[in-house]
Amino acid sequence: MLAIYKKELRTYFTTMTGYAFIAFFSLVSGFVFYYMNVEGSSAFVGYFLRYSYISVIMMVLVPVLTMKIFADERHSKTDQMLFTAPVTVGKIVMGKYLAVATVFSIPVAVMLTYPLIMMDYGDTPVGANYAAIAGFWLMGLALFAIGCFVSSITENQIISAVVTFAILLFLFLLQYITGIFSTDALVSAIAICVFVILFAVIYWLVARKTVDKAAIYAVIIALAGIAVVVALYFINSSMFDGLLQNIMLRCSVYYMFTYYFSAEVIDIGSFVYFISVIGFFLFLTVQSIQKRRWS
Amino acid sequence: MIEVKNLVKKYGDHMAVKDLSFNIEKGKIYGFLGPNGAGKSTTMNIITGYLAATEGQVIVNGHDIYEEPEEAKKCIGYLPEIPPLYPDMTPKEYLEFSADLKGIEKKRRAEQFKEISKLTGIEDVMNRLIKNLSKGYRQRVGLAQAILGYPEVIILDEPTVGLDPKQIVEIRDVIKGLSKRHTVILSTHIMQEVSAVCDEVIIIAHGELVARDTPDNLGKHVSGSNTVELSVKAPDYKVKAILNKLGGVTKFEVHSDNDEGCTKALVSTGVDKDLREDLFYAFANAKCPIVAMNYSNTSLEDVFIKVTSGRQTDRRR
Repeated sequence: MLAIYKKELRTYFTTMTGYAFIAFFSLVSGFVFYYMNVEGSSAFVGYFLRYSYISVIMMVLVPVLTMKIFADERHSKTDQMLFTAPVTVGKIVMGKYLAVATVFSIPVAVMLTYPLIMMDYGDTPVGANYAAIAGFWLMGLALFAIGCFVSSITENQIISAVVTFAILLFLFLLQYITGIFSTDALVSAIAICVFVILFAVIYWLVARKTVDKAAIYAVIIALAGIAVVVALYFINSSMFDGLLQNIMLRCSVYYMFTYYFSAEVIDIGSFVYFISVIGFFLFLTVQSIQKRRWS
Repeated sequence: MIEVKNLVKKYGDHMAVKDLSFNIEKGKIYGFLGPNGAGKSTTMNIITGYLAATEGQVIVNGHDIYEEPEEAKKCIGYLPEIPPLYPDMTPKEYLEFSADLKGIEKKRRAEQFKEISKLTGIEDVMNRLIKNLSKGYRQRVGLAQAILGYPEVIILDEPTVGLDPKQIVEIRDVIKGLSKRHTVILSTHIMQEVSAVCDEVIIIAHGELVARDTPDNLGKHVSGSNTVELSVKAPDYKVKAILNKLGGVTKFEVHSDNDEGCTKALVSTGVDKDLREDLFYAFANAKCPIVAMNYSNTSLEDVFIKVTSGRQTDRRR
């Protein structure tokens, strides 16, 4: 794992990618900090971190750093060396992820000086400021995990970058799209039924070649899921109030950052949330690489 | 050393490898032959653990490649068809990275780098960027990576492709040298390479094993005979009479040759029999001088074509 980590880190800093990322990110975050906190006289750093500028810059910079992680190795066939070496796939993924996380951590470390600068101007919520930066760091790491996963499913860097960008943009917009949908219980219940059917269809697509009677199982899953939803709806329809909105918001990593870190309190749930997202996508990365060996 | 049992690999509906079984013994050089698309690279990728087989088992040095991949992979050095090089590194950095990956102890590295760079002839380019190196040197750097750590088995996928004739000879010498300490499996299209380097040949076609033997035996077994080509200074009826009397001849053909009154004859015999001495005495007693005698073993090219295309026609039926 250490071998991969060292090699990846060296690649970021022998090419200009690493330097460009750090410089550009620091520039933008410094500017937004100045604009929102210093000029706008706000003592809370979380205020600038949740501002759209930073989200947009993350949308562009995350794909730039993650696009080549696995796609390039696969394209140039160097993955044959990695996956025939006596190292597990999990360790390779971890090594690569930790390297990109290290690069991202450098400009975040620069951010740690911002609360210190503000302390000079009067009373500031120092603890809340550092908590917000920590939260932002976790959010960024979650976005990098998503980028890592996307890079592992394609061998074209451009596709990898564009898909990552699209996913991050969608997650960002999700918090605004939510407003379009009605909070009515019936709408939520119907939406959940649609998700159940979608899940059944995906199951059928994945399993039709390997599992006997996959179609029958898919139908059973769909019918059982719908039956449960209908039953719950008639027992207690109020639990479906605004459920769709809640699910959508919880999928939006950006919204969850605002949700957890704008109240100036530390919520253990936030750490659990972001670490689960990171873990989930790294798990998917390992699985997608393993899957490729079998097909 | 390596046991491959009932290996099957499907890509979608296409069967790349069909029920392939063989085993590899220690300290020999194996040639892995087959026409394009026969499943050579796929088989090698499965043995090294890069791909997973649909069915079947690969055991390397007692370790199953799926059950204990790390242990099994430690015993293998692999040079894929396209050398897995990072263009932004120097060979030195690259070998350093490879040594890290393989977990070679720090104190043993300097010595190994020195030995291996000398063996593969990359000493002079150790500090140049790989992207600036020629194809031949890249191939050598890839080879150096495969040898690094002195694994027990070294698997080379077409190691001499893209090299100039002098380099090919050099690389072959390197490979021959490796057999003292390692078991080597190499795939190739080039027949001379097989007869020059390999102790044993495994021929596969359409994902199936079609022949396996030493290069010499392979020729005899496929044609089913040993053939001696003769040129005798005598009329053809006389030659026919002598050959008819001679024991051990399974088949002969006689062509009268106008050149200086010579007659040409092709004499076939059983696989294990060498007729040359008998022929010499038979003709000498008859006072018919033999002006030329050639021991014509079926060439490996013929074997290859016969074995691989034979299967194809079987399949069409």
